This record gives sequence, C-alpha cells and structure tokens, in this order.
Amino acid sequence: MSYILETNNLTKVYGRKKALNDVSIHVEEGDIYGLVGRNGAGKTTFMKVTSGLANASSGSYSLFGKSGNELKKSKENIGLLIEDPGLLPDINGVENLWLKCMALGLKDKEEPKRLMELVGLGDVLKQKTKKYSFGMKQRLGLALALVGNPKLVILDEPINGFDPQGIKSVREMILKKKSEGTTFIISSHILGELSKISNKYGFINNGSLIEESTSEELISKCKSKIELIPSDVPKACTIIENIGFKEYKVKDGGVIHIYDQIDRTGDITNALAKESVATIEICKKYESLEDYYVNLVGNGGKEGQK
Amino acid sequence: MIRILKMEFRRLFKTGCFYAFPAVLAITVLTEWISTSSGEKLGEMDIVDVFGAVFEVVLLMTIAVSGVLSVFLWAQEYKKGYIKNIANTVSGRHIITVARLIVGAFIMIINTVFTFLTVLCIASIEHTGIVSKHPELVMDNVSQLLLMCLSGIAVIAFVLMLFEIFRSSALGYTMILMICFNFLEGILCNIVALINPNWEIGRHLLISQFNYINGIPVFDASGEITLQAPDPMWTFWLRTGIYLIVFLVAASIVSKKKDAV
Repeated sequence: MSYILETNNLTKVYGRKKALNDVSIHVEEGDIYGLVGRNGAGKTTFMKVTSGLANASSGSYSLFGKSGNELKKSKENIGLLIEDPGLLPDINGVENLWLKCMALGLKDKEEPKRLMELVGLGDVLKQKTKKYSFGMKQRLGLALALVGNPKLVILDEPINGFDPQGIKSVREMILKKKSEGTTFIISSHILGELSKISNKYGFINNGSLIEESTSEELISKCKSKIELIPSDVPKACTIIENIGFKEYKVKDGGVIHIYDQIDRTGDITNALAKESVATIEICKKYESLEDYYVNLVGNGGKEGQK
Repeated sequence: MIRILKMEFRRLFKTGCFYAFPAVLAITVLTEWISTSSGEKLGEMDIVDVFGAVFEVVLLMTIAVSGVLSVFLWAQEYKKGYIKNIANTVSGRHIITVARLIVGAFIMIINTVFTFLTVLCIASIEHTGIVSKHPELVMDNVSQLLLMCLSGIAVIAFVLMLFEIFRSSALGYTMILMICFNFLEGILCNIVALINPNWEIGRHLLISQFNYINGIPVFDASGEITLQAPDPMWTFWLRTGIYLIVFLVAASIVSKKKDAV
C-alpha cells in the first residue's frame, strides 16, 4: 500500500530530551489524520520533522512515496500551519500570501484574494497583519497553508482562537478540501471537534506513538461504562467484586467507573442496598474520544482490574 | 533560487526601513543646498578628494546601515515565523541563505551608490565645480571604492554566518557595529600582537586592510613612520573574495544542518 506520509522509527532528540521516540505513522491519501496528545507529547515536533522544518535524529520517512534525496522536491506539496502563524506584520494579508505564491512560482495574482475570501478575511484585504486579532491571524495562517493547493496539509491546533461559527467554517473547509483529494494531518486539543472530521487517529504520549486506529476501530474500542456514586466507596468496591465485576476504577470525587457487564445496573443497586450502602447515582455512559485518550495514557484512578 | 530571490527582493522593497537611509541622504543634500544657496561657494574640487570623503563614510556608515538592515530582514523571518511558510518552497535551506546574501549585497551596493552620489552632490553644491586634476588616480579610487563595497558584502556574509549559527539578531547588530567601528578587528590585532609582536594581521583583515592600501607603515631607524610599497591590488581583491566565499559556504552548511525552527 502506498502512503502519502509514512514514518519508520522516527526519532528526534533535543539535547537530552527525546521529543520523538521511534514513531511509525501511516497516512493514506485522502485521510484526515487526527494527531492526539497532551501538551509536550511530541505532536508539534512530529509535524516539524515530517514537514522538513526540523531534521530527524534517526529513523526515516517518506512523502508521496519518495524518501532520502528525492524528498526535497516533494516538500513543495505540503502546506503548513504549525504553532503560531508566521506572518510579516508590516504588510497586509494579500501581500503575505503573494510572497508565498512567489516563492512557489505561482503566477495567478487572484490566488491571494481567493484564499482570503475562503478563510473569511475578504473584508480586510488591505489591513496590515499587525492589526489583526488572534483569530484573524489564525485564518490567514490557514490561508498560507493552502497556497498552491498542496496535496498534504499539516495543521497544528488550527481552530485556536476561533469562535463557534469560525470552527464550523474551518471544519467545512477541511471536508471540502478532502473531497477534492487533499490529505490532512491535524492536531487538536478539542478532541470532540477532531472526532467530527478525522477518519484515522494517532495517539502520542511522551514522544512515542502508543496507538494508531481508524475511526471505526476506535468506536469499537471506546468502552461504555457504568458510573456509580455510592455513599461508601471502599465498601462498594468490595461488594461489586463479590458479585463478579472485575474491571473498575475509582475516580476522584467518590466515583466508581465499571467497564464490564454494563447491563447489570440492577444487580449493583440491589447488592449495595443489601449491605446498607446507599446508591447516590448510577447511570450508563459512553466513552468519548477524550475519555478514551485519558484512559489510554493514564490519568490517576485506582486500578481494579484482575 | 530565482523564485526565492524574487520573493526576498519584493519583501525588501515593501520594507519601509529600506528607504530610510536614502531618504536621510536626500534630506542631507536638500538641507545643504538650502543652507549654502545664498552663501559664497568654494573653489573647484578635485574628484579624488570627493572619493576621499566617500571612503570614510562608506567604511563606517554605509556598511553599518546595510548590515543592520540585512540582519533586520533575516531576523524578521525567524522572529515572526515566516520562515515556516518558505522553508519548504526550496529544495535546500542553503538556497534561502544564498538568497539572503544576494539581497544583502544589493543593499550594500545601492547604499554605496547613494553615498557616493550624496557626497558628490554636496561637493557640487559647496564648490564651483568638480574637476579631475589627477586623472591617473581616478581609476584607482573607483577600484578602491568597489573593493570597499565588496568588503562590506563580505562583512554581511560574516554576520550572516554568525546569525545562522546563533539565530540572534542582537548578536548580528552588535557584530556589525563592532566590525564597522573597528573594535572587533582591533581586538583581534591586539590579541595576536600579545602572542607575537612581530605578527601584524591588520593588513589581512576586511576593514583594517584599507589602512594598508596606500602603503605598509614601518618604523625607520630614526623611529619615524614611513610607507613601504603596498601589496598589489589584486591581493586585496583575492583576500576579500576568499573571505566572502568562506563565510557564505559556512553559513550555507550551518543552515542545512540546523533546524529551521
């Protein structure tokens, strides 16, 4: 299978810190690949290395099927928005875009204006970017990433600073571009938003890729659970173990999450009542992407699994 | 390379600071014209003396201004993050480094031309005419001016190399001023003289070499300073050219090895 981006044991070391550790990711053409990880996990470093802004310490990667010395030319087909958008402050948005057009050898003088309209900056064509708000700068950064209609677009937290209307328009723009054949790699902390558009996910923690899944695989893996708030947590744990529940975790605030046999809520309440433990609240919950990620990387809680 | 050059030049022409130095020179000429228009003019001036006046200004001010503007342009790409938008548009980051030096060289050349024209205009305003009393010296002076311009470009290449290594605009500005006002080369000469007083490296340095262009000062038996015959002019050109190439190659190698961001 040919991938638009494939990395093999990609490693990046800054001084003594391994920002990326043997990361092997596979992005197919047309994917919207969601890169998920906490702050400092290595998402931005991964994007910098694969886009050519930083050099890998070891490992390799291929872009559009090309690797090694052939990579140089293929990087022109990548659009980037990494960290804050790189804008020249004393010129307007159209000029910022036109400079990139010139660097890419594009001659269509209407391209900057079209891109400004696409990202919702059609009213501020002549305004210098130093007067832009944060959201406007992000929009222009998106426009810069789309100059030249690149085949692969790498976006690092693209909806930072957007209002709900803006988030919706960015989502629609990404889906429209995907339908035209553009591949996206997107990192975002707003996992709920990412889950609306991504068809594939890579979970990064402490520089390592801990899991790579398609959205269908993720749906099947996302655990449903029972959320139980008893009056006496230690006693409740003993009781639910006695009636055959094996997978549970005690969370902060006196909450117990039970992951197996989730249809037996009635048995739980009866068993607790027999031992004079009050059930303050019990309900079934379905795991979101956020919950899945938090459980994957571990975030406190007592392990009740046997 | 051509695409990046076109982009860098367009960015230069859109930068207001680029026009500051020529504007100041123009205002200088204008104010000189206004202040001397009603006064009495001096006699004729030799074109060789015009060059003499230009040499001082080119060495100190023009290189400093050109270097500071160049560092400002490079630093802006990193500080504002614009490098992220253009780093992938070329097959190697060294192409951007070479383009930066070409733009720096253009700034140096254009500022040298403006400086020469300013001094010439002021001389014309103050004097009744500009004459050539020593035509045999004119070509030598033109050659020396061009050599100073090339030295300025080599200084910019040196600072570009330091900038690529340290990515510090403050260091770039400091180095430009230290070189133009002869602090850096002076310190080097003193250090070498401490090691061996017979080693005299000033004639081999970019700015200090111009102190030796008319002859090598030596102490005679009575302790007086006399001038020995200078090194041939081609040695100055060769030395300056070598410095330029070495600094550019070093800057290109560093830019390839270092991360862009």
